[in-house]
Parts: sequence; structure tokens; C-alpha cells
Amino acid sequence: MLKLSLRDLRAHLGRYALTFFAVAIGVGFVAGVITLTDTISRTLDDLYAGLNGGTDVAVRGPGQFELGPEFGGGVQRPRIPASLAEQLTDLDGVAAAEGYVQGYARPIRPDGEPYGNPNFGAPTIGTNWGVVDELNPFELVEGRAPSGPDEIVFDKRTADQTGYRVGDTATVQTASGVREATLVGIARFGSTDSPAGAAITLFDNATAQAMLAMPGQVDTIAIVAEDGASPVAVRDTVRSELAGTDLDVVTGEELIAESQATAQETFDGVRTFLLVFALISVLVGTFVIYTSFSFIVAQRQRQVALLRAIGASRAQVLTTVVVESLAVGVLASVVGYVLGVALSAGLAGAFVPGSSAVVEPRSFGIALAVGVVVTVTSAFVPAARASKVPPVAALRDVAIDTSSRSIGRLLLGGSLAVAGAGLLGAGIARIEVRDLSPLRVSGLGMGGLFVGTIVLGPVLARPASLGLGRPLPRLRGIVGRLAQQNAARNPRRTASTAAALMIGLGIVSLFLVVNASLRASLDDTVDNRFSGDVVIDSGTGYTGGGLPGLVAHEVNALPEVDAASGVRFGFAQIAGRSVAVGGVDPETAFDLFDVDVTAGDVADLDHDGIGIFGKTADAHGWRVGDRVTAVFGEAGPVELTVAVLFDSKDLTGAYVLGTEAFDLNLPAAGDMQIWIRLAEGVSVERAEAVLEPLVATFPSAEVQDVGEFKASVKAQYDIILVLVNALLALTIVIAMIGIVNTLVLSVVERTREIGLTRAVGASRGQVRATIRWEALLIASFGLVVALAVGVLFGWVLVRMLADEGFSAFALPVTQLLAFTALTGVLTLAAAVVPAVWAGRRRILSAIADR
Amino acid sequence: MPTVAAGTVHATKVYGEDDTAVVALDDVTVGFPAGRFTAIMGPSGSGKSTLMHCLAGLDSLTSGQAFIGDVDLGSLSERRLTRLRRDRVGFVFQAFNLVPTLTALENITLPLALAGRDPDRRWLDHVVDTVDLRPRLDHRPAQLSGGQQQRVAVARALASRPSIIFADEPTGNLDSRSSAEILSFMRRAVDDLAQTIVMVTHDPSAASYAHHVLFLADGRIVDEMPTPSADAVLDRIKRLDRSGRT
Ligand SMILES: Nc1ncnc2c1ncn2[C@@H]1O[C@H](COP(=O)(O)OP(=O)(O)OP(=O)(O)O)[C@@H](O)[C@H]1O
Ligand SMILES: [Mg+2]
Repeated sequence: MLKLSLRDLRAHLGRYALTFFAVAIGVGFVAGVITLTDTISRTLDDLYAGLNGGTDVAVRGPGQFELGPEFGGGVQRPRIPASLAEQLTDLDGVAAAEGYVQGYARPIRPDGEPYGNPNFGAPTIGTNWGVVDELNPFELVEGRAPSGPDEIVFDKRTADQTGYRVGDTATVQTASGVREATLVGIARFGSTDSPAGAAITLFDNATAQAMLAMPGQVDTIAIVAEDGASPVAVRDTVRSELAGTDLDVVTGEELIAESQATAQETFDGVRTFLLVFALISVLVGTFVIYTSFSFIVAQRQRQVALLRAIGASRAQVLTTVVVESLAVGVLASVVGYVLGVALSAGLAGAFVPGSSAVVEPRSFGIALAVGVVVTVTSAFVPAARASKVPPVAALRDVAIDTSSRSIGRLLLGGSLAVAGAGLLGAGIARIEVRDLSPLRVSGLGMGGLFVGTIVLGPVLARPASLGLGRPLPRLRGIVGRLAQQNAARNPRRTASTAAALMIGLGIVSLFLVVNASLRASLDDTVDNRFSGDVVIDSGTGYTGGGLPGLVAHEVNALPEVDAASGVRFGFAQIAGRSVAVGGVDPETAFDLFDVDVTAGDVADLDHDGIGIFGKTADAHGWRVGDRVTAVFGEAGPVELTVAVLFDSKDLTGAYVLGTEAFDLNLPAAGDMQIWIRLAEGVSVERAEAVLEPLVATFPSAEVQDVGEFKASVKAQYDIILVLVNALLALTIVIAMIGIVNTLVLSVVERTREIGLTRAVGASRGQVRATIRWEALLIASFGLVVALAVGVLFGWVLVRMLADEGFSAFALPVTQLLAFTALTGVLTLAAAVVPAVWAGRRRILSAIADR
Repeated sequence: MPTVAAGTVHATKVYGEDDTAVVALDDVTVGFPAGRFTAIMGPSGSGKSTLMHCLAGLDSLTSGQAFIGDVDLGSLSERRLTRLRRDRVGFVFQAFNLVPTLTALENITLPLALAGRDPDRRWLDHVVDTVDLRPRLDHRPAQLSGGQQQRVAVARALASRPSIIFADEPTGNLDSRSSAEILSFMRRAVDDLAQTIVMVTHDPSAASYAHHVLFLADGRIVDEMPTPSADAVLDRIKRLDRSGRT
């Protein structure tokens, strides 16, 4: 008996080790995400507090509309005259006032390559070097302040990274063009080399206004109060001075709180995104923990029954399991927490240079709660179920588990799956359910179908294992037959092991399908809707100002060019929603772009004409000739006339203005791209030769043939794909731990059987192969469901988002095959240790002790 | 003199060390003649199972040698030992003889399947008919009675025509009728099919099916009896018991 319990303890240790890892990784992920996001969020708060620290009162243009967080958030306001500063300095209580302006400014490295990446990573910002010391958050560490149009200062990080030194001539690209200037100083931001890692270029006041906005215009007038004057009192003085204007006056504190809130709101999306992945890994861990404790409970129950201590033992089994799970949960959570925090501290440093990890007691509380609740619940459920089983049944031999086919499970899983499928169908048929959009309806349907499938897992596991394993006996003889039967014999365990895989692999395959479709849609759009050959990409992204309108004119004037149109983007509020508005050259764009004009005349896209995507117009009841109000940040509310309706918005967005109207209302934006069709007989090479000089002064701009253009856009999708896969890697690791766990449990459970087969002549290799094939069967059950889910849901999503840029569905066959092979390799790797261990089990330990 | 199917020479098996050392086999030299049904009897703990395990290559001796035919088991690698068990040795244990996920037929042909050999159809038919299992071949162990399960185990042991079959209390869990069926079948296998069987048993009437009985006590062979009858065996056990106690 002692031998029995000793052996059991050893086995338990191993079993807990895996459970422990599963909990620790999940908790570590959660703790890491919380710490990382806390750190970034604190950095953002510090950033805005630092930027505006010296400001007691701020004056700015009237709020026009609030930009959605998907566009970066914040209230859009027009700029105000810089001269206001002088007027306000004279007021009572005002010590000093100075205008501040901010805009896109991207340093160009000495080798001519632009520094930083405006699409991903820290922003590249230009602003003015304030003369009023209290207002200027920067501090020179070298050189002097900029003065005159030909001098700039960089933040220390940018100087270090680009290699520019004081005295060098540096190049900076802004919305108004490219400028060469002397680097006269290097500055730090508070205690860091750069605010949140951003690349900062500082100009003197007049130069900043000219380069980043318009001469004489600023974003804000920052005011320092006199000693003893309260900011609130000064704010009120300024307000009454400015009564009659629509200018907005706030205290520095209000300004900081507001900008912090905007930054946090935008960042909330990232936080939620990361937390979702962390919770997915916890969920996957739950299946592993559940499997372990189900097994421990079953074993313990058998022992207790063996000891005939039947009467008191039910509660006993429950209590011991809960206590043990509590111990495992607490320990693993603590370890996971420490690991997660350590890792995220490193990551935070990489994301936001100079930040130090923010470790709040709250994050420890959450991590511990998640770990303990998940562990204890996953242990309690099987223990509670087991306590209902009569002890005699517990004494049964390792029989085939039939409890997995309960009516309740069938009903619940079946109805979830059916309801899910129904909603999915409704979504595809564009039916709204209650107030939910068809997209949300189909999303709910996917959720229901997936959860239903997982609930039905134990019912499906046996037929699936037998079915998938059907070729095995023929391929691998008795070894295959044993593996097939073993995978099928404990459906509940097979199902929860496979479910862990389904979740991680399902999401990966969904992303692969969506990614492939996105690429296919890009190809489809560019190939089928653009009749040209060459694209000049500004390389400045959405925020970066783009190429000045002049370039598109010059391009159009070339004899080698048949037609060209710039495409630019800005923001507006239309019908209460903040939206992106495209700007094109109406004379050429509708010839270059096949957007399926259904009504109106493109010639009407004049100073107040607007083109609208047909379905959007339908939703609002707009027709050609109707008046629509658009609110612009700079220009405020403007009445526009619907000039054109069109059916494809993949190239231009749902709202399009002609260049004239665009420049009137969104003067700061340049062309993000220039799309070009070459004259007959002109080769791409020759075109590149004449186009390159036109953009030679814009280092970030690139002349690309359509193939290169598509490739560069796809490269941006890659980054997202890699990020998502990296996040899911942990989940897949946990799922693989689940496989190891399940195999170890199976080996423990089948010690006698393995001994028997060894006694009658199975070699160690054959025992190992049996385990490996069992692992592969379980994994393929998970993989098949994951692939089905990924492909089906991907297809639905692409269909539902057909108007949002998904014009084509694509099945990434190679990637899915590679991903299947990778899963196979990982599974085999996971099976190595359990298989070797099974092969080494002493034959007699199986036969003895009976 | 008949050839020896298996045997030991000065076989000693000690479990544990020093204080806790248990001498399970104490210098046993024995040979089991081919084509004979030998029973091993002795009190609990006398080393019967240990002797069988060592003879079958499931366990190793502390000193001395064990042979199957003329192969010295001590000289074999793990791999060769496994192959020898698979091809030349059959087993019947007291219980848990069968793989629960395989059908009766699959259990019977398990050693052959592991060897990747096709069963000899005629021999298999013969064995299956002899154990009277034909209607049960597609059933799983859980669907068979204890006696039927043991018959499947015996059939498995016979199916690969091993040079020797070891049976450790094969009827220990069975009622007397099922026991009688199994035992007479085993005896027939020896008489009609020229098998060699070594069987451990506590039951004198089971021993009476054997050609020959060996008596083990404290890890030593203390007596033997040719053509045993149940009464004579019982008598001998009582005598041995008495001498053991004095
Ligand atoms: N793995 C082991 N470790 C330590 N001692 C053992 C081990 N296996 C057997 N023994 C001891 O060796 C001696 C012989 O055991 P064995 O199982 O061969 O007896 P047996 O004759 O088969 O008894 P039974 O009739 O009860 O089956 C016993 O004293 C037993 O306690
Ligand atoms: Mg024994």
C-alpha cells in the first residue's frame, strides 16, 4: 500500500507540474499584459503631463467634432492666430503666453532613408521650441535653441539613432515639403531622451508655423499665470477677454486630463486586444487543468473505494481536491505573476524606451484571482461530479467512459450549435436581429457554433478518433489499431485536450484565411479597379501630410503619363459619425478608378460636391442633388451637394471630394498616393526614370509599379499577422502542454495494459509509437475542427465585410498545410517524453500489485 | 530423456538490500521438459511467481542463469528479450490478461500482430475451436465472462505456437467448472498439440491436470511428484506444511 501511495505521489508531482505550467503561463500572460498596459498607460499620462506641465491656461479653437478612437481620437479643432498671444500677455494675472503648433515632421537619416515608421511605432512629430521657459518641456543637453528658418533641434534619442551631431546639416520632411537645416542643439524630455520614443524635431516659432501649419497659425496658446494668480481665475479672465469669439479656454489641468483621457481611450483598444489573447490562453489552460483534476479525482475515488471508507469519503475527496487545487493555483499564480511582470518590464522597455515597469497591487490581485478561480473551478467540477458516482462504479476497471454522452450535454451543445448556425445564416442573409447589425449577428452565430462544438466535443471525440484513425490499422498494423482505440476510449479527455488546440489553432487559421483574403482583395482591387501601371506612394501614412498637390500636377503634365490622380485622406463628421474622406482629381480619377458610378456626374465634384458610396447613401436616404452637412476640423460645418453615387469604395473610401472641395476644407493634407496610367507604349522603366526626379526631394516617397505597390501594402499586413501569431504562440504552447499532460495521464492509467502488451512481445518502440499516434489522433481532431472553424468563419467574415475592403475570399492552402505540418511536428515533440516514459515502464510493475 | 524447454541453473533472486533483503529464489536449478505440463505449488511468498517471471525474461536474476531452450536470457539485450518473449513464450496471468480495447480475436493474435506476422489460419481456427470461442471473437473483454477471458488468454498463448507457456494461477479467479474447462483444455494442448506448459497453482485439483508437480518453499524446490492426483497433492502439501512448521 505504501508502495502504491509513493508511486502515486510521484505521479501526482508530474501531473501537477504540467497543471502548474498551464496555470503559470496563463496567469503570466495576464499579469504581463496588465503590467505592460499599465506601464504604457502611465507613460502616456506622464507624456501629456510633461508636455503641458508648465501650462496654467490654454486657448484653442472651438471643438468641431470628436474623432473616433479608430482614427486616433481627440476633438478636431481649427488652428488659431498666433498673434493672440500678444493680446493675452497683457491681461491681469498672465505672466507669459506663447503659441504652440504640432505637425508631422520626419527626420531623414544621413543615408537618405526616412527615420521611424509612421504606420507602426512611435510618431514623428515636429513642434516649436518655446521661448517661454516654463512652457517648454524640452531641455537642451547640447548646443543651443533653434533660431531662423535653417536651424533645428532633435531629441536626444533621434540624434543618437540617426547619428546626427550638433553642427551637421540634417534633412526633415514635413507636410509642406523637405527642408535641410543645421542641427544646432540636442534636447531631452524631462528625464528621458525622447517623449515615449517619438522622434521630435524642434523649430523656432515662425518656422514651425510655416512648416507644420500656416504662417501665423498655431494649435494652442499656452499661458503661464503670474505667481500667486490661480489658473482658474486666469482662465476666467481670458474667457471674458475672448467672449464673443468661439475660442475654447481651459486650465492646464483640464487640458492634461483631457489629452490623457483621449490617449487612454485610444489605447483601450490595444489593452482589450491584448487582454483577449491573455484570456484565451487562460481558457486553453483551463482544459489542461480540468483534464488533470478529472484524472486525479478518478484515481483518488478508486483508492478511497478500495479502502472501503465509503461513507465519509465523498466529502473527503471533494475537500482534498479543492485544497490541492488551491495550493497549485496559488503557487502557480505567484510564479506566473513574477514571470509575467519580469517579461513585460523587458517588453515595455522595448516598446517605450526609457519607461520603467508599473507594478500595481491591482495586477497581482487580478492575476491571483484568475489563477485561483480557474484552477479551483476546473478541479471542483470533476470532483463534484465524481462525488455523485457510487463507489462501486468507481471500482470498475479502466473502462470505456460513457458518461460523456449525457443528454444534457447533447441538448446544450446541440442547441448552441444550431442556434449559432442559424444566426450565422441570418447574418449572411443580412438579417438584423433586434438591434444588432448583420455583422454582429453573424459574430454571435460564430460564437454559438464554436462554443456548441466544444460542448459537443466529448460526444464527437469517439467517432472522430475512430474516423480519423480509420486508416491507421492498415498503415501501422496493431500499433495503429491500439492508438485509434486509445484515442477513442476516453472521449472526455480527448475532447478537452483537443478543445485546447481548437481554440488556439482555430484563431490562427481564421487569421490566416482573413489575411490571405485581405491580400487577394488588394490584388483584386488594384488589378481590376485600377487601370494604370504605376503608383507613387508618399510613404507618410495617414498622418503624414503626403505629397503636395503640385507633384500630381507635374506628373499629369508629363508626356509619358496618360492620366494621374492623387488620393488623399482627411477626417470629417458626417451624419454624426467621424469618417475618413478621400480626395481625388475628378478629371482623371474616375477614368483611372473603376468605382462603378451609378448616379450623378463626376464633373459636379467641384468646390461643394461630394461623392458617396451607394449603400451608405441608401442607409441615409441621400440622392444625387441632396445637401449633406460635413463638419471639418479646420473649416467647421460645410454644406455639400451629393454629386455622385458609386458602388466600390475600396480605393477611395465611402466619401470622396474633388481636389477643389478637399483643399478648401482639409488644406493640410497632401496626396497619400498618386495613381498613374502611362501613355501608350511607355515602359514602366522609362516612366520610373522620369517620375523619380519629381519626388527626389521627398525621401519617403517611392515610385512603384503595381506589383511593388501591392507588395509594400502586404508587408504591412504581415506585421499584424506576425503579432497575432506571436500572441497565439503561448496559447499553442499551453495546448501542447495539454497533450503532454493527457499522454502522461493515459500512460499512468494504462500501466497494466502497457505491461501486458510488453509481456506478450511489444517492443519499447511499439509502445512509443502507440503513444505518438494517439497524440497525433487527438491533435488532428483538434486541428480538423480548428481548420473547419477557421475556414468557415473566415469565409463568413470576408462575405460580411465585402464592402469594407474584402472583395475576394482566398484559401491560403500552402499556409494551412504548413500550419498543419507544424502542428504535427509540435505534437510529436510533445509526445516524445510521455512515449519514452511509457516505453521504460517496468513490465512487472504492471503485473504485480494486483 | 525429453529435451528441456526452459530451466534455471543456480538461480537466485534477492529483492531489496541489507535489512530488507528478501531471498525470493535461493539457488534453484530446475528444468522443464518439453511437451509436458508442469505444475508449481507452494505456500504464498515461496517464490513461484518470481521463478516464472525470471524464466520468461520479465525479470532478471540476481545470480545464476535462466534458459529458454538453450538461450541464456541473461545474455540478451532488451530488444532480443522482447523478441524472444513475443516469438517463443506464451503467457497466461491470473487476471487482466487482455487489452480492453481490442476484440477477443485481436487479443488472441496480438503477439503475432506485434511481430507483423500473419496468423497461420488453420492453426488459429484449430485453437479457436478448441477453446470454443468462435461466437465470441468480435466481443471485447468487458463483454466476456471471467472464464471466457481466461480462455482467450490461453488461446493467445497458443496462437503463436511458443516453445513454452507460463501460466500464473490461470484459474485463480474462476469457479470450479470454468477452471476444469481451462485446465483440461491446457492438458489437451500439451497432449494433442505438443505444447509445453508451466503453471503455478494453489489448487491441488488444478495441479492434478499436470504431468508433474514441483513444490517450492522459501525459494527452494523442496519436492516433486509425477502423475499427481488431487488427493496425493493435498496430502503432500499437508506434510510439507507440517515439516515447515517444525
Ligand atoms: N518486487 C518485489 N520487491 C520486493 N520483494 C518482492 C518483490 N516481488 C516479490 N517479492 C518477495 O519475494 C518473495 C516471493 O514472491 P513471489 O511473488 O514469487 O511469491 P509467490 O510464491 O508467487 O506467492 P503467491 O502465491 O502469493 O503469489 C515474497 O517474499 C515477496 O514478498
Ligand atoms: Mg504469485
